[in-house]
Amino acid sequence: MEQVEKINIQIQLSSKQLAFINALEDKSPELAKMYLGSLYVMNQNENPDRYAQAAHSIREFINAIPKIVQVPIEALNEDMGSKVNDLQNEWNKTCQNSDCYKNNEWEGKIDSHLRKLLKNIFDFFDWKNKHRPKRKKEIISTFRELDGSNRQLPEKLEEINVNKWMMIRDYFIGIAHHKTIDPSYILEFNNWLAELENFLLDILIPRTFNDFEIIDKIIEEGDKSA
Amino acid sequence: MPNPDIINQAIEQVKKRAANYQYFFDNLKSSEWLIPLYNEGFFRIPPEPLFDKDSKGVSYPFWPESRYLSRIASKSPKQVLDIILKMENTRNIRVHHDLIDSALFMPPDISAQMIDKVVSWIDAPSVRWYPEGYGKLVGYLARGNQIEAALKLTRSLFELSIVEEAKKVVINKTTIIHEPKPESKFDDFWYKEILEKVEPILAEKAGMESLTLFCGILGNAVKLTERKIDEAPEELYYYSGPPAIEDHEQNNYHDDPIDILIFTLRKIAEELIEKYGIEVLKEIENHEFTIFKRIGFHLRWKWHDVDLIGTRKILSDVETFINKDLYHERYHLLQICFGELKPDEQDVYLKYIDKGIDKEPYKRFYNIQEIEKEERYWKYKQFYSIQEYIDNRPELWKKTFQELNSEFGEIKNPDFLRYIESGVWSGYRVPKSREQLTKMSIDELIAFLKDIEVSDDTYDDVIEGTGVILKELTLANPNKFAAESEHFKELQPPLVSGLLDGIQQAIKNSSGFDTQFWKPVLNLCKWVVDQPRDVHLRKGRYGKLDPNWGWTRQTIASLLEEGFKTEISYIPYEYRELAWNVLYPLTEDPDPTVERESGETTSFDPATLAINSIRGIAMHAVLYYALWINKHPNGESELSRGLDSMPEVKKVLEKHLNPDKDFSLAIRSFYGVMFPWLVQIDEEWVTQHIYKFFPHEQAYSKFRDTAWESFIMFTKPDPKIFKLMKEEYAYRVECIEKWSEEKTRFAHPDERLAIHLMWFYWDSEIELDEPKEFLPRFYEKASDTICGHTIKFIGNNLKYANGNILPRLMDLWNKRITHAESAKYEGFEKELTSFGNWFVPPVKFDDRWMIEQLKKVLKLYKKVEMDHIVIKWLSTKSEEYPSETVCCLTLMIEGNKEGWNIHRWKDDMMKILSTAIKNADANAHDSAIILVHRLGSLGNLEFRDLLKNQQKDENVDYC
Repeated sequence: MEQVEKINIQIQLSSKQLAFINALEDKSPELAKMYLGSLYVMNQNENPDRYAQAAHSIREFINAIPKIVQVPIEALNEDMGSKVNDLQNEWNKTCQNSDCYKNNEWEGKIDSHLRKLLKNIFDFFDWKNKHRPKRKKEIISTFRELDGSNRQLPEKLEEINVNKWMMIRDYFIGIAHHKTIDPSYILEFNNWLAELENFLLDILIPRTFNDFEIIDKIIEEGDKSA
Repeated sequence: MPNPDIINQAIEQVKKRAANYQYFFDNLKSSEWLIPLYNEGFFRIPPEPLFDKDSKGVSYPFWPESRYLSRIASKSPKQVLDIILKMENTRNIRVHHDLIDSALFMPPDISAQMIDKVVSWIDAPSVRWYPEGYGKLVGYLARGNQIEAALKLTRSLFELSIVEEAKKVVINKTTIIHEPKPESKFDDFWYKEILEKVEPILAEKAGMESLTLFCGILGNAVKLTERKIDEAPEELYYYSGPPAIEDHEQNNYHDDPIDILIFTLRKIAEELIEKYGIEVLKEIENHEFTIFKRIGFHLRWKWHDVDLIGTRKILSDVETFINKDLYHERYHLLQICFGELKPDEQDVYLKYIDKGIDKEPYKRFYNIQEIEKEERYWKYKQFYSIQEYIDNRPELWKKTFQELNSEFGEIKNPDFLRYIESGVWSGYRVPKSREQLTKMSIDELIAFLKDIEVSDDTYDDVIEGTGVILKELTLANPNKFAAESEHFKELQPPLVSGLLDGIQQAIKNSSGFDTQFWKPVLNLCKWVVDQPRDVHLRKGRYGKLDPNWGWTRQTIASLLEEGFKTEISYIPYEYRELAWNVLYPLTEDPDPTVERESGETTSFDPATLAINSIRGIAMHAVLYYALWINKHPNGESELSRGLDSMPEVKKVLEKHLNPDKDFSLAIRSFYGVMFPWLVQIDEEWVTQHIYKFFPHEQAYSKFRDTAWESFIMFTKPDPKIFKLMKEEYAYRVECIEKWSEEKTRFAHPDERLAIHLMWFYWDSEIELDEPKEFLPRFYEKASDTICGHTIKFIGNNLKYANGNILPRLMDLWNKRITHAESAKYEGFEKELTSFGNWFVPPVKFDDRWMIEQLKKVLKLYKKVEMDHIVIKWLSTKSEEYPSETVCCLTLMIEGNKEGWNIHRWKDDMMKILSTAIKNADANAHDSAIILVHRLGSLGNLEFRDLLKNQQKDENVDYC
């Protein structure tokens, strides 16, 4: 806590961020450190690549969350890029070695090189078909463990949360890969960061009864408009 | 209808967590939300049951969406029906519950449209969970004239089935076949309740259709009872119903579903017969099973003018009389309709009587006179129902009946082949009732008991029943019977046993037994023990009665034990010799036999067998005999001489302590249980013989283990005994975890050893680090569970702890938790979480120390034993330690994944949280607010009130 307050002075954490970091510390000091590190980098005004580097830390932070709640992950560790690269290597090798590929055209009986490539293509699509649902499952398990209430949302609502989470993750991966480096995006970056914090805070430090008041008002509004 | 923006706002909130989602749907009242929410994908996929791999249990999640549907079903029935019909099928019984409730709120014609869906749920566990809902729906549909749907649901709901196949179980070398019974799909209580409610509605609204339906359901159920009969494998047996078709006290305990179905069918038929007359009889008698014939006979008896021609035809068919299962209803039918038969029709029955019984089966058991008497009684019973018509018949019938009447007199309950009275079977030779026996003088009673006529077939009823009554009479008036007890010699063993048992009970109950009557009682006992034990006596039909004097000898052993033990009506010292002469032969009794010990005829463990066998009880009586001598004024001077003053006892004790002379583990168990008493009687003798109590030879290891197990399980820790038995205690510490786990025990010997050692530590007999063979070795060898018992034992006994002992106990805990820390807490969960037992009031330790230790345990395991006591204690400390108490509570909530305990903890939690919220300590306040919201997210909405008047700015939200 002492350390957190010291940083607070240096990088001006909001009370919400402070609560967020405290909640992370309760779960895993390691995780809190990763997140704090990304905030630190963001505040290094003299560092021209700070947003990409901060985004990189945030991506690592996001990827570490399932581990700290002991959700076994497989799909989340795999990525499409490396799978496509492997397939491309296989393609190039087959084009070179297969008797079926002549003058930029495929012909004749399938030989062993082409058979191997087709098998790899089949495996790739099979993986691709299973990958997304598996990844979704892993994220849902992570949320459930973080929540710890032992009470589940309907699948449909959990899916909305997964999609939101993946959008946040994809955004930071994009920034980490320098896909967006225009300084005018600082505001957008901060908004995504706030989204991430809010999303996790709703799970880690639920404000259930405050939400109930909002729900009461929504129902009242809905009944009025009916 | 709420606009899309509002719907989106709602989804934004409900997706945050399950509590929000539930709160939203639970608070919707208007049906206007239905279509917009449906369009957003709600109400389509119910949550499926959740299977827990670890506990193998199933849980059924609530579905707030279906609860909303049931609330608005009356407002928008058509829309709700459409949604239910489109909904995915589920095995979630809570959802079924809600949807059945929805059906009950819709107009019946709309509910009827979802009947196929409802029927499809019946085979799921759903119907077991909410049978009354299904029952209500049957009634609701029938009342709303949706007959087809109501009958469809009725059939599916009340059909019986065989859930378990027949299985053979071998108990003590006896094979018992558990025949499967037709079972209902839900609890028998509800089966009866619901049928009683829906039957009149179905009969009224569906008329003959309901009768046909229930005949079909009953017919299918009876088919399921098909059995082959051992004596006649080519014949098949089917269940033929309870003792009476009409409501009758003999039907008590006949409340299986098949019986309930029979009574339901009878009631429907009774309700319809006025309106549909002979059609009802045709429908019922169209079915082949006997039970339908019985119901038909019952209806013909009660409504005999509905089809008199048919009844005459039945009663003039000899087949009607052969089936014994028809006896009861046929009796009444004959009684009321025999006079309506033409003489030639009556002759069919009279010739049937005249033909008599098939004597062949009786020859195995009876002599010719007995068989002839049996036949005469049978004929008399057949005549009994038609006796009022006999006067109009030829003289021969009249004369025969009169002769039989003068021979047998009045028959009690003649309309039953067998009649059960006050739990005692009484057949056609009824013993005298309790009331009749009470009115007799002792002489009359003894004369009656001596003259009782019994056969093997009636032995059980007559002798056992009378023995039970005799016990009751003696218990009510022990002195009267004890004074005359010598006159009970020569009676059957169960009768003598009944008398002596009554006297023993009277002494036990301190019912004013006069000690002057011990002499005749002991004389009777002496006469019994002098009888040849295994004299051949009659065996009961079921072979269950005392075939010799064994049971009576056991009763005598118990009576003597009571007579030496009791403080009020004990045996006068002057009868010492007589009493010993009765007791000694019992210590030589063969029971417990090798067969009993080996579990061939019982499954008792040695300690239980010791108090349920003749020799075992006699050995207990010997011990109380010794204490009785010591207790007596004349014996006081002999007390210092120990067993030397009672050589007869010493001789018996030494004999049975020798495993070569008494091989019984039950008797060995007696020595273990009674060890402290024997030390009290003669410590020197025990010290000299201690190796015989716990023999070290490998060949006698079973004797050593049995004596130890009985000792440790049934005796209290005693420093004096500990000093005598140190070597055995040390040996047992080395043997920890070596007991067979197959044996069922009410406690484990190692648990008891742990408790004994803790007691000795408490008493400073031993220390944590010395002598090495006790606690240091114990903690090396004992499992986490066994160690948990030590901590628990201390907690349970802290109320007795004084100031001096507390530092010893704190020292123990500190050393254990330090040891656990050095072992990285692996394998310490049971032991450390047992710390919760130390919070059982009065808590003797310093509050801060207790809180610190509790936090250590909770941080490790998030749980503690006696959690409700712990929370109560925390609530009393919340003013003083607001932050710490909230911290402990938070950890306990985190560990309470299933959320079951929160309801139990609620009041104390409220106190802890409200104290902390009001507290100036910001940390306590903030932690409490966070926990209140957390509790809300777990579905505990009652904590919401704690947040009233709290500021709702961002800082407070996130503390």
